[in-house]
Amino acid sequence: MPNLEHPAYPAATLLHLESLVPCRESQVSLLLSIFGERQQFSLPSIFIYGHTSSGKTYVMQTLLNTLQLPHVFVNCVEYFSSRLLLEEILIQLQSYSSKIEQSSHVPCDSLNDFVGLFKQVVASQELQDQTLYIVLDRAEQLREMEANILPAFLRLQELTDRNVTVVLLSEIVWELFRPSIGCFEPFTLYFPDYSIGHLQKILSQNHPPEYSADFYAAYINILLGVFYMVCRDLKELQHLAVLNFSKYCEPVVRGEANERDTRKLWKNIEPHLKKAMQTVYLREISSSQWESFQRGSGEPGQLKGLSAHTHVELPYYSKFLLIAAYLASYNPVRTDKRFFLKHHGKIRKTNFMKKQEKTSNHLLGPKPFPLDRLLAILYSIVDNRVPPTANIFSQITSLVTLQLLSMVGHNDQLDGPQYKCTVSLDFIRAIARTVNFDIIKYLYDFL
Amino acid sequence: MSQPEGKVSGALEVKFVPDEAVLSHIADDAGIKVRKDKAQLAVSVKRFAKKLENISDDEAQEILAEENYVAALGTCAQDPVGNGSGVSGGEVYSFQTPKCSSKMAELASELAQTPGQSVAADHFKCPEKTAKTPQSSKRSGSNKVQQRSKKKEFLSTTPYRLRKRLAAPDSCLESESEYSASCSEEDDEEDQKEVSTVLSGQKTPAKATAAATSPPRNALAKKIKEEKMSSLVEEYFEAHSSSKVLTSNRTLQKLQTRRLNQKTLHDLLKKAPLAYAAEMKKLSQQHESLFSKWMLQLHLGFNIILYGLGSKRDLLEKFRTSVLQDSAHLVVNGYFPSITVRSILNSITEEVLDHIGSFRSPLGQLEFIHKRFKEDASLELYVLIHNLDSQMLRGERSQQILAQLSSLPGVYLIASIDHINAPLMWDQAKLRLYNWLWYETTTFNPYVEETSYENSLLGQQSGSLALSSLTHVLRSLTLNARGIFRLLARYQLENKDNTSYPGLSFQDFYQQCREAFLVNSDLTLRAQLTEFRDHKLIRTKRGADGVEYLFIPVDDSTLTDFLEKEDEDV
Repeated sequence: MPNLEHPAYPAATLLHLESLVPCRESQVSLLLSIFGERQQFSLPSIFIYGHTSSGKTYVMQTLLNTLQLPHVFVNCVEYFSSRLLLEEILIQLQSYSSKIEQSSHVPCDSLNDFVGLFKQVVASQELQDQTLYIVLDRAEQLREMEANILPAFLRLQELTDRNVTVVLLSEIVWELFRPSIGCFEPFTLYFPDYSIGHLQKILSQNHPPEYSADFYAAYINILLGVFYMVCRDLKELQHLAVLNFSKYCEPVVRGEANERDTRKLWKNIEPHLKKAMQTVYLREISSSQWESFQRGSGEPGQLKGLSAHTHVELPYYSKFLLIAAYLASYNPVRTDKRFFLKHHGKIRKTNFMKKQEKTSNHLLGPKPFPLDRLLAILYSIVDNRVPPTANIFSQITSLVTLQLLSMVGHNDQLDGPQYKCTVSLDFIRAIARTVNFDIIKYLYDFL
Repeated sequence: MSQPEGKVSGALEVKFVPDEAVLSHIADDAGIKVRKDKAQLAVSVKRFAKKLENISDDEAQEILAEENYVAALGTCAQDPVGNGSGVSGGEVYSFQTPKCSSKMAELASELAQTPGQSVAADHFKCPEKTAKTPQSSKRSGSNKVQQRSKKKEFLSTTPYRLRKRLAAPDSCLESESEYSASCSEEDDEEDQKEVSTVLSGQKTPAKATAAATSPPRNALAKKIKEEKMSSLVEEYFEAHSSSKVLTSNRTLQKLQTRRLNQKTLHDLLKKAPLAYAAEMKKLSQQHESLFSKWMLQLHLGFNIILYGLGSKRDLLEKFRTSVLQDSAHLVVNGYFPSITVRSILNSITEEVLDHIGSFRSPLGQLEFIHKRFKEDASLELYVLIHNLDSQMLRGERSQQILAQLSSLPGVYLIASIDHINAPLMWDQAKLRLYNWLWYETTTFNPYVEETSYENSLLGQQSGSLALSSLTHVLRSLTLNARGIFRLLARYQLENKDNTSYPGLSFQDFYQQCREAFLVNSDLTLRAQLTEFRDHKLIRTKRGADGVEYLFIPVDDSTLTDFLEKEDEDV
């Protein structure tokens, strides 16, 4: 018994459609009823939103393709300027109307031209008496274009006086789209997230042919048990399922367990999946590395991730400059005297500092500091005499270029520039270790 | 050195100081200054504490002490002239600008009043110091007495560091007394040195000044040099340890004399004689002997950068007239307030390469220049840039373009810098393109041309604002104020073709600002406009219908450049 019913389309097509879009029956049936029959006028614009990988693009595409409705599908990220976008729509439309041979490239500079050219193209026989759908994927990019683009697309039916429906697909809500001067309100439709049951159903749908469906479903079950807490993204889960399946099958292949031995299989795969969460899921190591490691059966901990390569070779003075910048960023100015003067006397932490300075500076992030302070700290932490040469200065600027420091304000580059240190504590500790400098002793937070 | 004079002539004879200046300074500064300008005082006290190690704190010896001041002043006044290393850290790090500007004003007015009298600029520093020091010494002396009444035996052997600390008017005196004892044990070596000088000072005070100032410097020159850096650092931290910001309330408005306009000021300054003309001439001749070397190095693929004190404009001009006579060269006046990189590129494409037409972006223009120089190996261009570090050329993009230009094989660049932080402009990537050879060319010439465009506090402004002063003023404003100004500038540029454009009426402007969320009420906008008017950024005009019209009295091209530059920054 098919859930989808529509008088305009044959039941077989609808049944096929239903099998293609699992767990989205209600949305598809709503869309079908909105679309109506071909010659009927539909809504001028539909706005579909939902979370990442909730099947917006896929459902729309399969729906339009299976029902063989005339449509144009454009990704707004790909066609980032209004001119490119409008021309792309026209080019795709031309392929529908076979009469105009894949003719010359039609320049379309403005929206005005577009409306004229659009009317011309749609006037052809094939497109005349049916609804034309223009689907704009990643529609949030439209807001970056000229101010008139979005309102014009929402009113395209009215402007062109043709049977056209514009569908906007986006991950953000409609309220963030609305222009300040108002516009034609589209019909908004929400695609809800897949539940764990939905995910299980979709993921176990296409199991590998050499194994039974139950075997694969059990695998998906374990996978979701590990990953559902951190990830509900269908695409990610699919990718992880593909990557780790060979490891799951290993005991069966080796003959140590049969397909029914779920407990043994679970014991085998569970630590492996936990490791995968820390490495492949965070893209610390690439998928191909992971696969080759599974084949070679090495220890996954031996693979060095991207974040392990935090060590950067720097020149001697650059290291000290970076250390000085870190100290300047994370120490309150009032404590400078205490750390960098030799005979500062005893200043207690508690009654010396203001209240807000007592909270950890590392939690609040780096504070900007002037160039003078950086140099003063540098001279004080380097044991021998540092001449303030052009090289030292250009090393400061080079550190900014390398994004180890960042300039604050951009007011003036030479008169009193302010900097911030953007490296982490681990990084600076590693650097301080190479020059035998005990940075923890100089940090106010660790007193 | 002037110690002998000080000793012979006694306490009150000061040679080069006009009396009325001393009197006036004592009159106005005496009570207030000591209490108010603590930070400034700290600097001066420290300096004198260093020089006058031997001043004892007995009340009876105060006359002697005063005698020493004069002597020490002599050395102090000569120091900056004699050897530059004598400048202490306090001068580098403390904020002395208000003092300086007032001094300049005094100098100018003095010159205006008595044109015949030739008073050299550096001598003018003295009266203020003489006026200030007696008080400061008394203060530190009494401090010491208070602090160490219980341990008299330390009197003559207090370490230098401790004394410096005590001399500095610190807020937490109690804590200092806690650690003073431990400190005095720590710096033994310093003690020794000072004990000897102090002991001799007890016997013959006048001689001791000499012992304290000059001989240790010669004997321990190396050590002092080594310690200079650390003491600079310490002074920086000392100066910045108090969070109080001190602002002088002595403004130019309080000055009795009228403000001069730019021209008279210029003329008056011109009359001031140059002190060491012969020596400076010798110096410039020395620099000129390097010209052939520079030429060679330019052709070997290096670019020349000149740094050092004094204007290097004349030197570069000499280089141009003597060496570059027969070759294509371009002189860029970086100090010119409306110069942009685009104008430099334009003059290269239009006048050197004879290209007619415009370019979309500076990068495209650079590409074109690059292509032309690649094609034609015989093309040669010398680019001379006075002040590469000027306000208009120091931006990241400008420097990137200039660096790429200088790396072309046919382009030879010779430039001068003056800003102390100028090397901050270049990171390694740009330095690689520039391929600098650094030449120190200290000329001691006055910056006449370079500063002629700056709006100095002294003179009244004339004419319309230049681009650099426009950006300079606007940078100190809030983001909203800048937005308001930008709105007005945009509107004015949109209407630039309309000859009968009266300006933007206040009501319309208010409406636009409201829409952009820049102001919340009528009054805020009025306050903002008053501020603009004070800086001469806008002018108002009453129209025929009685409505106020606002417009910016700046020419359109400057305004366009300004908006472009702003957009780049934001």
